[in-house]
Amino acid sequence: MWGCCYFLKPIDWQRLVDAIKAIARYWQINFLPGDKWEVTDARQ
Amino acid sequence: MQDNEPILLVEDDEVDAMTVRRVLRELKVSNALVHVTNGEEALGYLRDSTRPRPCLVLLDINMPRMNGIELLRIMKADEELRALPVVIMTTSTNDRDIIEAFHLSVAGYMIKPVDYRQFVETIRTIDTYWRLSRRPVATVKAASAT
Repeated sequence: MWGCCYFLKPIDWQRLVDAIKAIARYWQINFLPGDKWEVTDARQ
Repeated sequence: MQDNEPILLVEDDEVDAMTVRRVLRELKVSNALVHVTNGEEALGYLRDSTRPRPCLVLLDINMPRMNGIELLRIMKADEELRALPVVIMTTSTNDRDIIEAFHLSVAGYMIKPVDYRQFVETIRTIDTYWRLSRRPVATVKAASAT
């Protein structure tokens, strides 16, 4: 059963970064069953 | 999420509904907001083929007559409605509600922020996310037509 969403990968790098940030932000503010998870930027 | 499709807000609290309306205006979200106050009214709207199908449902849980979980259960059992993205917006941090909502394939479970600025950021995050996503109903119909 459908529950989430469907993204097309942007070709442009910056748009890809923005899309991943938006996805991460959305799931960070969600209340999920179980533990919360964190997103870290491996380049930092 | 297309600009010409409404957002359906299922919310019995008038103050919260006004806040959502204000936030959408502040964020310049041009989608019409259809507001109903319980699950029964929402189902009536969703099953009325003369009404435009919403691109997103913002759903409260604790409401009279038919609550959000009951509506979600009916929607997910209905072939016509199951693909609509439903984001719960509630004050309930009850684990049972959260687990049941995700078992019913909810597309998000947000706690209504008390602070207005946080409310703006929550709605902004939801709006950005669903604008990125492909429209599920079109996808389902296209797949079943082939």
